[in-house]
Amino acid sequence: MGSRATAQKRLERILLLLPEAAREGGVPIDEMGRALGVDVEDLVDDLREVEDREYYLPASEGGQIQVTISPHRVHVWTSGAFRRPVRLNAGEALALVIGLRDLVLSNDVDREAHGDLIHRLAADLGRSDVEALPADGIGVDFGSTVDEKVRATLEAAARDRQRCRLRYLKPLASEPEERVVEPYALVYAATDAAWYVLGRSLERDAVRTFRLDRVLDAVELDESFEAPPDFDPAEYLTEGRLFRADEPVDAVVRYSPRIARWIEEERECERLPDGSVLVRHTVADPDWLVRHVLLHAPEAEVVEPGDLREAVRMGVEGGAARLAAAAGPR
Amino acid sequence: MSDSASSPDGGSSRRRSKVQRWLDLIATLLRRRAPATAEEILTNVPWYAERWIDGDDTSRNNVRRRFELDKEELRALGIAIKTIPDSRRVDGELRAGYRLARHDFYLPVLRLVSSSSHSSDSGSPIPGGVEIADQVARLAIEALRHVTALPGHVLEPEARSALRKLTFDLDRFAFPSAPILIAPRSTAVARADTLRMLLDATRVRRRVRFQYHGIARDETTHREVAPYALLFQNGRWYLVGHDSTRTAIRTFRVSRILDLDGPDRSRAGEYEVPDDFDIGDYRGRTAWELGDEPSITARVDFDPGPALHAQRCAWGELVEDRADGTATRAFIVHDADAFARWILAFQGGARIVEPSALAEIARDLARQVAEGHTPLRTTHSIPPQRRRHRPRRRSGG
Repeated sequence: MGSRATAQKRLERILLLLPEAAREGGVPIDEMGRALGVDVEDLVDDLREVEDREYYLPASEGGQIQVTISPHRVHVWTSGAFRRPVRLNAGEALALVIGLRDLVLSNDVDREAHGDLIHRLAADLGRSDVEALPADGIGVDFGSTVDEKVRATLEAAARDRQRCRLRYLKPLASEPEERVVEPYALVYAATDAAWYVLGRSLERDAVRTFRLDRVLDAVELDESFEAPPDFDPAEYLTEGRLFRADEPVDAVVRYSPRIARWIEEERECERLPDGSVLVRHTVADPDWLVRHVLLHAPEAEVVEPGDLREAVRMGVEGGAARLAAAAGPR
Repeated sequence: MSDSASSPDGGSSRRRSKVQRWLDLIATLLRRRAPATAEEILTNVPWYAERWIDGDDTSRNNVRRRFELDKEELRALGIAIKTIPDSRRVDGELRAGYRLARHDFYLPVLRLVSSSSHSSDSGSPIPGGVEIADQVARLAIEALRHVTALPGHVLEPEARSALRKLTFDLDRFAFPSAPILIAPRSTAVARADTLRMLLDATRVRRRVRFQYHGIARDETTHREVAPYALLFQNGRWYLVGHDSTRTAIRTFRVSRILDLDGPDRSRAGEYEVPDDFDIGDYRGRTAWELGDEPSITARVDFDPGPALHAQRCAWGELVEDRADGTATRAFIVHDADAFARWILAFQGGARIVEPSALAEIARDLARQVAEGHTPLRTTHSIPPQRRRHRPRRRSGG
């Protein structure tokens, strides 16, 4: 990174750090490191820059900022300068405008009314140039296939720790089933481009995942729950995919040379002499693998196990669609 | 120009960094209510003063140039140092002054009020601050968390710092977030550099050149594109822009952009984004809607379960809903192969009824898959483990 870029980043961090550290009691230094995305050592270097000014500024000015760094906290005393955060810069205002716009769009709120709100809010926070921000230059879509009312219900239930009744359509099922769940977290798995709710299924008395685009309806119940204090949804991720299985299935899939390079971008592969690649999958839901292979047809082939290979063949011959799904939700 | 210098009292030399110089300049301007002349600044900010006060003409010219550069760099960071012409009279002459007002520099104090007691949605000015309705504050905080939640979002660092600023006055614990985790693809962080470069090009309207491997044609071609927007969809980032090699708007998956040319700050404003361009028109598009081929309209029959799922996800347009739970839906297709694969994944629960050419593509695909999945003669046909390729981490450009 060039020296100009480094100085810019350093100044921005200092202008963020000083007001926080000037609060009573200071601020935990590792918390600020996480918030600013840098190592604690970098923050200490930033603070030394501020501290060193004391040595050359005239006495009337040098004492205006004093820095105290203890092992875990940093505290700043300032007579006035840099006691507050600076106004939003163009990038920060753009992030706010884009976040608001995406939220408004995904929640199907009156776009025009809230567009006005967005501009007024950004302007009040110090960006009178908000109209000139290239907000149309970035869009984020987490999937229009998710009913936003369902997601909002589950999001609120997860936050407030309330049980929900779901109408859930399992893959290959012709009718939905009812489930009562304690939603612990919502997860967007980019690998699948899908939202899931991860929580305890009361019917199974176990943690299960429910893909949101298969939740036809969700109703919050007047029953609260306690989530396990050490619950971490990240533990249920494998290679960016949500994975939860009592009896996982191991499978090997071969991808043709034509798509091998793209598969190699995203998964650990074994390259074969003919240019194809092998990927070893561990799946909770065999049907997921069948659909995955078909979505890459005809460039993907299940090599083993034999019954999954047969399931793919049956799937394209129409048989699988007529079978009732015996397994519960993922 | 070296940053090191002796201290004014002639004592041991001490390096003053650029950041310290910037802080000193900002602090000097903030202390003043009236605009400061260049000379006042150059004699009060230590780094400048050390070279200005006793400097010769060359030294003074260098210092003045340094001040001009510092001013522009700080302005580029959003620090509103204003030049006010003819604002100071010195020795009978009117001179320009420089001012950094506190209300232009610092974030206004945000005071939360309940939405029911507040007459307007957004802030009302109060002395020294802004009133903000709690519903609006919640929306703003949620919006920024929405951006920070997506690892590799091109504006994630900015959203994080904006969130920190916004919640300086507001108790962030009063706005608990729902437990949401966004799990990126393994390549998401690796594309961050490319995304920043594309965002930069989009902001300043600078054309970009790159090699692009289209999976449909399985070939790498050179492209020159005027970027209109970046879009995150289906778990991936896409660039939408006018492709001069195709003379049309095209969508490119960022992970397939290779050899992106580096940033060139001398180039900007090379094109205009059409007024009728709306990134919203590209949201919710599926893989088959993003292809290069001319569009065709497909009709698909769905069995009851898939029909329910299709209705739930608003796939295509409903043509006919039948009493037995089956349904027919219509789709606009730009990529026939991608669409056929998607239909295949229903495993017989959906069938293309027209056009017949598209139905034949799907049937042919099904035949190929069936032929490729006949039972294997040997139970262990996997070669011994060979070289392992870990997912490629591509750097930008």
